[in-house]
Amino acid sequence: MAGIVLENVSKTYPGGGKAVIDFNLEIADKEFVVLVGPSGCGKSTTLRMIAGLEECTSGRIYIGGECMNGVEPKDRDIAMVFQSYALYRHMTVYDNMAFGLKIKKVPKKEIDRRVREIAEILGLTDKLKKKPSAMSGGECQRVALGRALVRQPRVFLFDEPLSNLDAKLRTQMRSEIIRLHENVQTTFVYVTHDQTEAMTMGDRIVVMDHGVIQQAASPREIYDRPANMFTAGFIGTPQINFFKANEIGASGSSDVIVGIRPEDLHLAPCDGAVIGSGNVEFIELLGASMNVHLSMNGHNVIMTCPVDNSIARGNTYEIWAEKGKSRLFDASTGLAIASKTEAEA
Amino acid sequence: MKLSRNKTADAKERRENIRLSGEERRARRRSAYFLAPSVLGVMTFFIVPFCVIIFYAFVDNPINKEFVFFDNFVNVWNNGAFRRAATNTLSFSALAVPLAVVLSLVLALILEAKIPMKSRFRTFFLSPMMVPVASIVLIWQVVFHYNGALNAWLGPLGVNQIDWLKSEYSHLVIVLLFLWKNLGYNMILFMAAIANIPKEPVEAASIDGAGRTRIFFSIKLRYISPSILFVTILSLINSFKVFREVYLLTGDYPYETLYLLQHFMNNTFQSLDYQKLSAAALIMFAAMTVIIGLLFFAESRFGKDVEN
Repeated sequence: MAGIVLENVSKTYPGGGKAVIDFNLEIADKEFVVLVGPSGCGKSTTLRMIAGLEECTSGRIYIGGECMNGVEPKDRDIAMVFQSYALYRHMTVYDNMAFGLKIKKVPKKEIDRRVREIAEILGLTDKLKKKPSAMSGGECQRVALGRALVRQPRVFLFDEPLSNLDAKLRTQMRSEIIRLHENVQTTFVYVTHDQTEAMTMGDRIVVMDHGVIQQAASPREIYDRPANMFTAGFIGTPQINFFKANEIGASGSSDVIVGIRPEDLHLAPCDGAVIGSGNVEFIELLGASMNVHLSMNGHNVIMTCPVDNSIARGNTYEIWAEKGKSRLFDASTGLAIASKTEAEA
Repeated sequence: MKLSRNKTADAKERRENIRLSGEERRARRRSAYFLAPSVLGVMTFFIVPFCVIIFYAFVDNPINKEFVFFDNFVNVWNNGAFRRAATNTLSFSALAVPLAVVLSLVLALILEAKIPMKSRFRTFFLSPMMVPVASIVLIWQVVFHYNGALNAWLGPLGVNQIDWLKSEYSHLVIVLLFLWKNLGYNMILFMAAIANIPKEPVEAASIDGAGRTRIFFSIKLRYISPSILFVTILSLINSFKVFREVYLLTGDYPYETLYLLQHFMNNTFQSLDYQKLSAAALIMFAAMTVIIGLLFFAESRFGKDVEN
C-alpha cells in the first residue's frame, strides 16, 4: 500500500514531441484516481512512467515515499493491466497468474493457495488449465486482473483495460473493478478515454489535454464546477452547450462564455429564463430519456429530457435554462470565472 | 399449389448449382494451365527420378532387374566408405547446425540492442552471401593451405606449420566456412522474428518482476520458437550443401574426416553403381524425414500458442 507523488514530471520524445509537461500530482494511499483525456493527451505516458516502462525526461516520481527514477519496473512492486490483456499466450491461466509469484520465489503451496483464491473471486476456477487462445476477451481481461491481484502489489495501474470489451461486458467489469478496489484497499491509477468510466469509477478524476492537467478533482466537482471550457466540454454526455453571453440575453459582454448542461435546458417554462427559441432538428430516443437537437440562431443546442411524445421534429420551442445551473468562462483564456458561478440569464 | 412452387424453386436452385459448378470447373481448368509447367518440372526432376531410385534400390542391376529385397541396403550399410561418410556428415551437421542457430541468435540479439553502427554490422554479416562459392574457396585455400596465410601468421608466434585441410582440424575449417557463409542470413531471419515479438507481454513480464534473462527465456524465446525451427531446418539443408565447398577445396577423395555423404554418392555415381547409390540415397532420405519430422513436431508443440 503506497501513495504516489509526481513532481514536475515531463516527458519529451527524442523527436522533440512533448507528451507530458510539468505534471504535478499527489495520489493518496488507497485512492482510486482516473486519468482521463482524449487520445494523445499524455495519460498513458504518465501511467507508463509510473510503471517504469518509460523514463521521465525531468521531474521525480515517488511511490510510497521512495524516489523511483531509474528503478526498473520489476523493482517497483506494482501491477499493471493492459488494454490488450498482454497475457502470456503459451502459458495456462494458472501459469499466467503464478508467473510473478514464481519469480519472487514464493513457496509452491502459497502460490497455489493465492492463485486459487483469486481465481475463485474472479470466477476463473474452472478455466485454470485453459490457455488464453481458448478464452473470450472478457475472460482474458479477468485473467489479466487476476495476474495483477495475486501479487498483492503496492499500486495497481490500469491502461484502458476495458476498451477491447463490448458495451455490456464493460459495464459489468467496471463494477467488478470498483468492488475490487473496495476489497483490496490499494492505490489504483486508472487510465481511460471514456468519461463515463472516469465519472463512475474514480475517487478523483484527473482531466488531461496536450500533456497538461486541466483539472484534478472529485467527479462531482469536475461535473459541477469545471475549471475550464475543455473540462466542461470533455466531461458529460451529451456535451455541454456553450453560448456567448450576449447572444442569449445574459448580462455581460461577448468575452463571457456561458456553459449550460443539456439536462439544465427545458422546452417548457421552469424556474429560470428563456435563452432563445430553437427549431427541433432531430431527436435521439434513449429509452427513458431523449436527446433533442435544436437549432438556435444557427447554433446547435442539445438538451436532455424525459421522453415526451409531444416534442416533434420541425417544431419551434422556447428554450428555458434553469436558474443557477450555468457556468461562466472567460472567452479568451477558457478558464472558469470563479466569482460568478451563476449566469444571470 | 404450394408444393409446385417449392418444386420450381428447387429446380431453379439446382440449375444455379450446375451453373456455379460449371464456372468452378472453368476456373480449375485455368489454374491447371498455370500449374502445368511447375508440375511438369517437379515430376521430371524430382518425382520420377525418385521413383526410379526406389526401383533401382530393390533390383540387382538395371539390366537383369531382378528383385533382391533389401540386399542393396545391407550392402551399403556394411560399406566402410558409406559409414565413414554418414558419420562425417552427421557429426558435421551436429556441430555446425546448432552453432549456426545459436550464434546467429546471439548476433541478432546484440544487433537488436542499441549499439552504434548497427546497419553497418548487418551489411557486414550479410556480405558473405554475395560472394560466389569459387571466390570463397579461393580465399579459404589462400588462408588454410599448408603454405598459406594462417601458417605464415602463426609461424612467428612459434606454432609449427599445420596442414589445416589434411588434418584433424579440417572439420573445424569447414565448420568455420559454413558459419561464415550462413550466419548473416540466419541473423536477419532472427532479427525479423525478434522485431515481431509483441511488446505487451514483455512489458507485463517486466512488471511481474522478471529480469532480462528471465524475460528472454520465458517470453521472447517462446515467441521466436517458430523462427528457431525454420532456421534450424534451413541450416540443416545448407549443412548438406557444404559438399560443394569441400569438393572444390579438396577434390574427390579428401582427408578422411571431410569425406561426406555426397562424396560417397558422387564417387558411386561415377563408378555407375546405381544400386548402391539408390540405396544410400533412400537411407539418407529416411534419416532426413525422421529429423525434419521431429523438428516439425517440436514446432507444433512450442509454436502453436504464439503464432497468430
